[in-house]
Order: sequence, then C-alpha cells, then structure tokens
Amino acid sequence: MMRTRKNRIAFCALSATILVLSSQLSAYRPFVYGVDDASSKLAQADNAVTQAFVAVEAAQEAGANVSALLKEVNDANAVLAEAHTASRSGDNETASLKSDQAFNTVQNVFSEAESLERSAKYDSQARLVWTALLSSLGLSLLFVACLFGWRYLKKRYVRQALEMQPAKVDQA
Amino acid sequence: MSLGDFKLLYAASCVLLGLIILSPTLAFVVRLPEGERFSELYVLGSEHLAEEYPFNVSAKGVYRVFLGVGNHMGVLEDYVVYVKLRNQSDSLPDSVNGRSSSLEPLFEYRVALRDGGVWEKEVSFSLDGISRYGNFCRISGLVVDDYLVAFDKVAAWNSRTGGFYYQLFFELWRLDGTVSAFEFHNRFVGVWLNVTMPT
Repeated sequence: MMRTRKNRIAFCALSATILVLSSQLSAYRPFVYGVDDASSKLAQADNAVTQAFVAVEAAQEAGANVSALLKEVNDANAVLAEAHTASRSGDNETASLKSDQAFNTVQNVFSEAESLERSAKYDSQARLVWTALLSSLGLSLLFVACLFGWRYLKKRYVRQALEMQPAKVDQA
Repeated sequence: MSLGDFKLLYAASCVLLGLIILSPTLAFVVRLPEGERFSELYVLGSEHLAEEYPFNVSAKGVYRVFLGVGNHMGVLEDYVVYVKLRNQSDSLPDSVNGRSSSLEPLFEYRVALRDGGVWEKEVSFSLDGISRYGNFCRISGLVVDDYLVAFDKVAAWNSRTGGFYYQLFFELWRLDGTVSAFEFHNRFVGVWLNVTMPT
C-alpha cells in the first residue's frame, strides 16, 4: 500500500517535471535571421546612411565644418559595405548585424548636420550683412574723399599752371 | 598732361579703389567659373607604382594592389567601388553608353569624399578553390581583405596566349542626390590575371 502511494507521488513529480521542462523548451526558439529580415535592415541602413550623407553635404554647402560628421558617415559606409557583401554571400546574420551597426552609427548625424547647416547659414547671412555694411561705409567715405581730393588736386594743378614761366622766343 | 587727362586718370583710380573696397561683398555674390569636374579611379601595383601588377596567380598566393579614388567634382561625393571578376567572354562596362558591367559585384568599398579628397586602400586578394578540367579552369572563391566570397567562374584555355585569363576589375559608382541612388560613374580599372595551376 505504502509502496504504491510512493510510486504515485514519484510518478506525479516526474510528470510535473516533464511538463515544466517541455513548456520551457517549447518557449525557446533559436532566432534565425531570414532573408527578408536582412533585406529590410539593409534597406533601412542604406536609407539612413544616404540621408545622413545628403544632410552632411547640405551642411558643407552652407559653409559648416563637417569633418567629424563625415568621419561618422565613412565609418557607417565601411560597415554598410561589409553588410552588402555579407548579404550577397547569403550570410544574413552578419548582414543584419552590420546593417544595425551602420544604422546606429549615423543615427545622430542627420540631426547634427541639420543643426550645423542652420548655424552655418545664420553665420553666413550675418557675415554677408556685415561685409555689405562695411563695404557701403567704405564706398561712402571713398566718394567723399574723392570729391575733396579732386578739389584739392584741381586747385594745385591750376596753381602750378599759372606759376609756369612763358618760354622766351629768340626773335633775332 | 592736360586737365581732362588728369581728371580721367583720377576718376579711374577712384573706381579701382571702389572695386577693391567692394570685393569682399562681391565674393559672396559672384561665382567664378570652376574648372573641369571629374572623379579619378586608379589601381597601382604592389610597389605603389603603375607597374608590378599581379599577373601570374595561383591558389597559394596572396596578391595586393592599391586602389584609389579622387574627388574633383567641386562638392562632397559619396562613392561605391564594386569589385568584380570576369573571364574573357564576360562583358566589360560600356564606357560609350555609360553602362556598368552586368556581372554581380563580389565585394564593395564605400567612401564619402570632400572636394579634392583622395581615398586609397591596399586591397589584398587571393583565389580559392582553383580546379582544372580539360581546357577549362574553375575558381570557386575570391578572398578580398580576408573575406571569402564564394562564387563559380569558369575560364576557357586561351590557346593563342596560353593561359586561363580572368580580369579583376573595379567599377566606380556615385550617389545621385536627386534620386538618392547610386549610379555608374563611367569609370573602371582592372588587372588581368593568368591563373596557374598548383604543381
């Protein structure tokens, strides 16, 4: 009787253990990178790096110093090239990981480039206004100086002409 | 000098001075014509000269060339250099119509360059899985910068020159900002390889 009861308890414990283990094992699914996943990540990284480059280009056109941002774009470019090569070789896991890495590298570049572009445009406008103002002031001063200078030089020219001795003509 | 001539000289001097004073402002507005815009793509041999290019290659050797890109486009440019391998019957890029080769790239390099910038890279490569059957040679892999790319490329024996010839070539593509896509920039360079069998 005792023996049967012990067996039942052992059987129940074993069943419970198997149930728990099987539920744990069924919950575990190894993550496999698919072609679609790699392709979409690659497209996302491509898009992000292109946008970052276009933003950096615009910032440079505006006159900003983009050396640091260009380095980040090139870091992303190097990783993205590896992602593309891995994707072509069918190594979807590496392609996905490298795409993520490239995407993360340029994540802040776009906003930083935009901010640099804005400040460069503002600086450029301010420089233009100041240069134009100083040029106008210089031109006005030059105009006045030229008028006074002309009056002075004209007077001097006439005085010198009047002081000239007529040449003697030998009539013999 | 008459008073009229003196007046003319004085006026010309004043105008010249005025232009000098205006020049910083004019520099903001007036754009001077720029020189020719172009990109350069070059490949140099192992001694960093336009000689000593690898030619007779076998499965055991690791070979190197220097690949360079120069930007003289006047603006920042984003480039891709595709590495491709062809046999004698595969198509080359069509430089007349500006079309790239139809072959799939095996490897690629990407670089963004500012105007006047030059990028150079030492490219090391080796051939993997060379086999010969009859008058044909098969390569099943190319190792570029320690990265193995698997593919299958067959070359027929060239009886005229006596060899199995492949060409490793590099195509230059640049980002077209208006469509946000890379387009062939009509530049390519390459090195011929004569594949020899291991003895």
